[in-house]
Amino acid sequence: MKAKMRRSLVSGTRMAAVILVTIVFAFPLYWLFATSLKTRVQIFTLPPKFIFIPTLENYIQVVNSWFMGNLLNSFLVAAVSTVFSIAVGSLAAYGFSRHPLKGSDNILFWILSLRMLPPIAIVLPLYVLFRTLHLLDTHLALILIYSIFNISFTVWFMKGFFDEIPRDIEESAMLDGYGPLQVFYKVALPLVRPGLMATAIFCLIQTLIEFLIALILTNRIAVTATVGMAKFQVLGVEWGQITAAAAIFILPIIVFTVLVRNQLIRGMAFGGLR
Amino acid sequence: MVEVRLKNLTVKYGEVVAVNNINLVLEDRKFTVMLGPSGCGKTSTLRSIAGLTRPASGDIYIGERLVNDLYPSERNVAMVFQSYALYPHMNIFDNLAFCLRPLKHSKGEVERKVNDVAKRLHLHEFLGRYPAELSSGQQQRVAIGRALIREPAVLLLDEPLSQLDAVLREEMKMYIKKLQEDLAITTIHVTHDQTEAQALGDKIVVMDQGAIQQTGTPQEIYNSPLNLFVAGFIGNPPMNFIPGKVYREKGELFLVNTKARIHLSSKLSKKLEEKGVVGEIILGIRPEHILLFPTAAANSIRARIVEVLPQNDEFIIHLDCTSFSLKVREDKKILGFRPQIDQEIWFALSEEKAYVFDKETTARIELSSRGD
Amino acid sequence: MKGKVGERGFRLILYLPTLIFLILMSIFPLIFSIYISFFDYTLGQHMSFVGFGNYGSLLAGPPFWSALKITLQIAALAVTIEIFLGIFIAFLFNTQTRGVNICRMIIFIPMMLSPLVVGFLWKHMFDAIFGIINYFFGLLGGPETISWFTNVRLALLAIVIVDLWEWTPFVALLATAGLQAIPPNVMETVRLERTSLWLRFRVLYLPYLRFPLLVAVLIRSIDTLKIFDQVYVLTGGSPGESTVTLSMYVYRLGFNFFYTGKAAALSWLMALISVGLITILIRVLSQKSA
Repeated sequence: MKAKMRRSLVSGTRMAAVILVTIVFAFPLYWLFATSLKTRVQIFTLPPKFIFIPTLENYIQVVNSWFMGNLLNSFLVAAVSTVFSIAVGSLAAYGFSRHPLKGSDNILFWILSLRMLPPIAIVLPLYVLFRTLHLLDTHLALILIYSIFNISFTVWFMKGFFDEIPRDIEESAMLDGYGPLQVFYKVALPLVRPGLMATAIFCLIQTLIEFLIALILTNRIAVTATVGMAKFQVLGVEWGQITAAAAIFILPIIVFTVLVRNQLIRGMAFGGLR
Repeated sequence: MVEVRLKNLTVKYGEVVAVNNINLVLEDRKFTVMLGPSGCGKTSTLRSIAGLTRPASGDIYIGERLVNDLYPSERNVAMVFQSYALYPHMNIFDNLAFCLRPLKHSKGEVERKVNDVAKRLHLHEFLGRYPAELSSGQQQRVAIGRALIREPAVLLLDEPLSQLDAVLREEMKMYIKKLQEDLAITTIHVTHDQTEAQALGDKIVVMDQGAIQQTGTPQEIYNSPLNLFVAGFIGNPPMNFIPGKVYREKGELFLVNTKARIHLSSKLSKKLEEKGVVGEIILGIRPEHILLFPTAAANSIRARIVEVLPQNDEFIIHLDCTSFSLKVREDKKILGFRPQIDQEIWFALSEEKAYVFDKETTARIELSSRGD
Repeated sequence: MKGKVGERGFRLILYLPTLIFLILMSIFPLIFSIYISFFDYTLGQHMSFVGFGNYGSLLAGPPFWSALKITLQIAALAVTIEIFLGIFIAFLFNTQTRGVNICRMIIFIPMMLSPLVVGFLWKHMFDAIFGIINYFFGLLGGPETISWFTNVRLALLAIVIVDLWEWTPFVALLATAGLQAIPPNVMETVRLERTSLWLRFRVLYLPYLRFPLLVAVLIRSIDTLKIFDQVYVLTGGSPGESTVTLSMYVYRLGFNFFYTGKAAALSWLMALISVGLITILIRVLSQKSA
């Protein structure tokens, strides 16, 4: 029947378009992983090889290089900053949600602006200060700076979760005789656990992928993965190794992304990713 | 104005079968009500006719056209939703005029049609207002107006009255009924409220669990239910069911239910014998067909009053008869006395009004010459 | 049991750590930054007060305006195209067909990756000789060895394309959220009526898309103005100085030449522009939740 054919055609075309768009966005990722599995010769050939015998030599070289140390730095700094920021920021978030101050709106505005300012504006003076304090090229310096952004993000993001707790629950706890600290600790906090998880993951991702601040503040000791990756370039663009390093680096990030897929909109609206 | 025919229609949601292979004719120009509890498949059927839900199999004819693969906009049907679904960003005039746009009417014609519909539905004062400013009843009328303005072949209504308060609901019932009569448009109305169905329908289709239980006029459904479900669904309070065993003793038939023994009148006994009814049955009797006596009378059975609900001119009395319970509806004046809780009372069944159901199949056993 | 900590004390516990930390780590340095901006200060050398001299020489010099122009070009082009493509993708993916969810998940990955990694990846793909992009161009009949990074226009285009790849799904994400806010019955009513595509869009979809798209434009604008990582890797500012963005200019001033005073001044100007946009964003966001 004519109508039936037309319907199938329309929905078929649509699916084809969806797949096409998906391929456009997925292809570069595939290419990244593919390149990381090629030998030097395979990379530098024309026409580009889509089918080839994969090799792990790039990965082996990366694993044996300074990059792993950089990776460790990245994760260390990200983890410490995240834990610290969540601990501190959640308290404030709860405050803004349940015990607001006069002028809370202004303070919140200031905190969000911090999150969204060009990082260069904050790094510059801090560089000068850290230099004087001999804190350049240290993990501490990075943790401190990243925590500015992470705390700001945490305050905004967690406030939303605290706002969602029905007041009735807290009020009934108070009627039962619990003081405000206990209400926070025993009632509110457990209820926002998924929110805390999501916040943690966003903070981790955002800290891991940061480049400019790390570039400026580190030199040899506290070099993070992003800066370290740039160093592969210095030795004359070694695409195999850069892509292998990148692949190792982004794998956990992709995993994290899948974990927070339900909170993506919220997370992105409150601080995007630089 | 067209008739709608459903042939072997099956609607599934994943593995769940919502509508199970039904066949139905919805007559031209008639007001058909699809009635049933939630999940019975009535809304799924309605949406399949509209094209909003794709059936798993089956054919749908609107008039002479097979519409299975046509998009909803090509079927020339209109639908009024439970939530009215008015366009919130447009005023009432635009809401009504919106569907006329693509039909390329001139501006004057559009105005004329909108004004006509607005007048008919008493909306002409509100044409400049926005949906949020209108009351439920008014929004309801706009939804109806929007459906009617393009003169569709079929009008579909999905529980349109359920959001209205009791008074408004009564008003709108009469309104819709009259409207349909005036316009003579094939109308299909879905509801779970059986009083609504009784009031509105030329024909009622009772559904349960994806299957059609019975179709007929409100009278037929009420007086001649085909099975236990239909009998129990229609009527308020619902029909009483007394399960039991037919038992012959000394030439008389009794219905025995653990402790109680109901002596069946000779008339009823004769009919049961004629039909060869033996063993377990379910006796059905409506609350208004039970007689109450303050003291023992011929053929009456003793019971205890558990609850009394006064309703206007009647009492709804709950009786505890040890092994089963009954709800009785009795006119206050006819009763003659004030029923008290825990009071002992005797009841008898108007047996000409009793129904007999097969325990296994739940179908009603037709007792000849029922007459009503 | 009596609360050991009173309401007041409790508040202190909640707010103090955050406020102290943020003030110390940001207000302080920012004020310090303003302070420096009034001095002719090259790191490690003597500072001399010049008042608004730094600002003056910045605004008078071509590099600033060039950087501004380049940054605005990238921002305008990228954000505009992202909006249109984002809406298109949102509609395209707005269906319940199986598999669409997985596809959606896949296209959301680019925006979560490190811009640095993205920069490297695309640098490789845009390679003049071995790059896969040129290969595809060749397949489609175009020239096979486009040298992306030696031509000013192409270099900027490359940067925009990279930004599109990374962020279009973000706009699509927001637009999808807008579409999902449409009450299903209203959507179905439109399906029952014969309407033209444009009319349907204007009456049904647009009102629900306005808000998410506005947020998208604001956030993307705030972000593209700061763009650094990708540009650093892709072009490093070349050819010549033609792809130097504002952030990159500040970086050079402050960390290649160590003209700290000037850099501070410029970073302040950037901060001010950002704050302007952020104010609008917050106003828009709170309007909706009100």
